Amino acid sequence: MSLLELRDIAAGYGEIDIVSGIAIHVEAAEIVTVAGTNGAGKSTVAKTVTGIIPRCRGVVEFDGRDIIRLAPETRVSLGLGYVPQVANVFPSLTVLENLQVMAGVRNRKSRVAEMMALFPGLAERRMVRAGALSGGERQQLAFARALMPNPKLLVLDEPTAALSPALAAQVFDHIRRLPGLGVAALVIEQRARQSLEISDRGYILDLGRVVMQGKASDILANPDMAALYLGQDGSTH
Amino acid sequence: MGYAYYVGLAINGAVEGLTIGLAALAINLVFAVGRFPNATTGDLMTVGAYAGIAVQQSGLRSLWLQGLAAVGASMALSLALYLFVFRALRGRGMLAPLLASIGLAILVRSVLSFFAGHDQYVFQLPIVRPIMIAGIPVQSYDLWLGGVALVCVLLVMAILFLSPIGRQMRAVADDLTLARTSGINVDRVYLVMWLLVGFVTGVAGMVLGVRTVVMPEMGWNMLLPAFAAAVLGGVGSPAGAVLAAMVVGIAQEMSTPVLGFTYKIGLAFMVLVVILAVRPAGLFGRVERVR
Repeated sequence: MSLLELRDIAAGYGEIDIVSGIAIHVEAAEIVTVAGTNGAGKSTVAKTVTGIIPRCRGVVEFDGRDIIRLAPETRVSLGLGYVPQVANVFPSLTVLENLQVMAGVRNRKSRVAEMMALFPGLAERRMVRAGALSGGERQQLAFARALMPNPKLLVLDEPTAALSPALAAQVFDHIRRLPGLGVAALVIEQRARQSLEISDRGYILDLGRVVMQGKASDILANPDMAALYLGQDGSTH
Repeated sequence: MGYAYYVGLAINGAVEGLTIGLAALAINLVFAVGRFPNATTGDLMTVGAYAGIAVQQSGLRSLWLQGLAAVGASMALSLALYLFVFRALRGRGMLAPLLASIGLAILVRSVLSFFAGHDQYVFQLPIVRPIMIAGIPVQSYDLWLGGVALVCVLLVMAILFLSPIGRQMRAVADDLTLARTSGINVDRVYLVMWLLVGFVTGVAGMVLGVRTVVMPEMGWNMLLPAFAAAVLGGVGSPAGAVLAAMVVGIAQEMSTPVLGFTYKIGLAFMVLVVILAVRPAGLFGRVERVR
C-alpha cells in the first residue's frame, strides 16, 4: 500500500478541469518529483493533495484512508505537510511563533529546539518577524514549519521558485535529507532536472495529463523527455 | 482657564479615546480575521449598555453586575450574529458581509427601539466629589472607567500576543489558506474572535453608557470615530487602533475651548485626514506581505 495514492483525479477551478486522469503514488520515505511545462497543472496536483483546490473528483488515499472529502486542517493532523509556492510563512509572526503556531505538534518545546538545531540559521533569528527574513531564510522557516508536526509526507510546491541557484541548491539539500527523517516528499518543481537528480521517481505533466512516469534516472536518461520537458539549464519550459 | 483645565480635558479625552479604542479594537479584530468592516460594532455596544440598564431596572444596583450583564449580552449577540449570518458569508468577499452587517445593525437598533422606546436611560451612580491629583480635579468614575477600558485592552493584547489562540488568530489574519494547511482549526479561531468582539464591545457599551446616556443610537454614533481610529492606527494593528483612538479622543477634547463642542468631531477627522495624507498605511500599519 502506497503512502499517497491519487487515482483518476480531475481537478480545477470553476467549470474547467486543469488536470484529468491523473494517477500518482508516493511510497513511504520516497522522493517523487512532478515536473512539467508552465500551466501543465503541477500546482493543481499539490493543491488536490492538500485539499485547497476548490473542485476535485477521483480518489485521494493517504496512509490507507480516503481523504478527498477531508478539510486541509484535518489532512495535516493525519501527517500531511505542505510548503506552498509563495506566502509560505506568516509575515507578522516571529520565526518562533511561526513554528509554535503549527497544530498537531506533540511536545512543542522540544520540537522547536529540534527544528532550530536542524536549521541553525533560524535560531539566531527566532524573535525576528518572518516578513523581515531573506528569501533563503523564509524557505528554511517554511521547511521547519512543515516539519514541526512530524509529517509522513511533505508536499512542496515549487520550493525553489524565485530563489538564486545557490539558494535553490540549499533547498534541494534539505529535500534530500527528508527520507532520513522518515519523511516522504512530493516535489512539484520547475527546476526539473535538479529535482529529478535527488528523486527516486518522477512524473512529467503536460496539458493536465501525465505524459511520462518512472524512475527519475530513466526520465533523465530519456533524450526525448530531456529535450521536450527538462531543458538545458535544468528547468522545464 | 489654566493648566489644570487643559490637563482635565486631556484626561477626559483619554477616557473617551479608550472607549473609542475598544470599539476600534473590535473593528480591527473582525477586519483582520473576518476580512470585512463590521458595522454592527456600535450596536453590539448599545445592546451591552441596555443589558446593564435592564439589570439596574430590575433593582440590582451593583455596577459590576450590570457590567457583567452588558458583557454577557454583547458576547451572546456577537456569537449569534456569527453563527447565524457571518459564518455563511465567509469566503464571499468583503461586500456581502459588510452589507449584511449594516442591515443587522439597523435591525438590532430597531428591535431595541421597539422594546425600550426612544427614552434616554442613565446609570444611577452615587454623586462623588472629584479627587484632586497634583492640584487637578479628576472625576473618580472617569479613572475607574478608564482603568476598566485599559485593563480590557491589555487583556485582549495579552490574548492576541501571548496565548496560542491569539497566535492562531494572527496567523489567520495573515493568511487564511496557510493557516488551514498549518492544521489550525479555523472554525474555532472565528468562534473565539467573535466572542472576543462581544466581550470588548460589551465593556465599551457599559463604559460609554455610564459616561453618557443610554439610547438606541449611542453605539451607532460611535461607529464613525471608531472606524477612523481603526484606519488611523493602521488596519491590522490592534495596538495602533487603540493609540489612534486616544489621539482622536484627546484631540477632540482639547479642541473644545477653541472650537466648541459642536465642531470637535470635525477636528478629529481633520487629524485623521492629515495623518493619512502623510502615512497612508496609518500610524502603525505595515504594507508587508510575503510574495
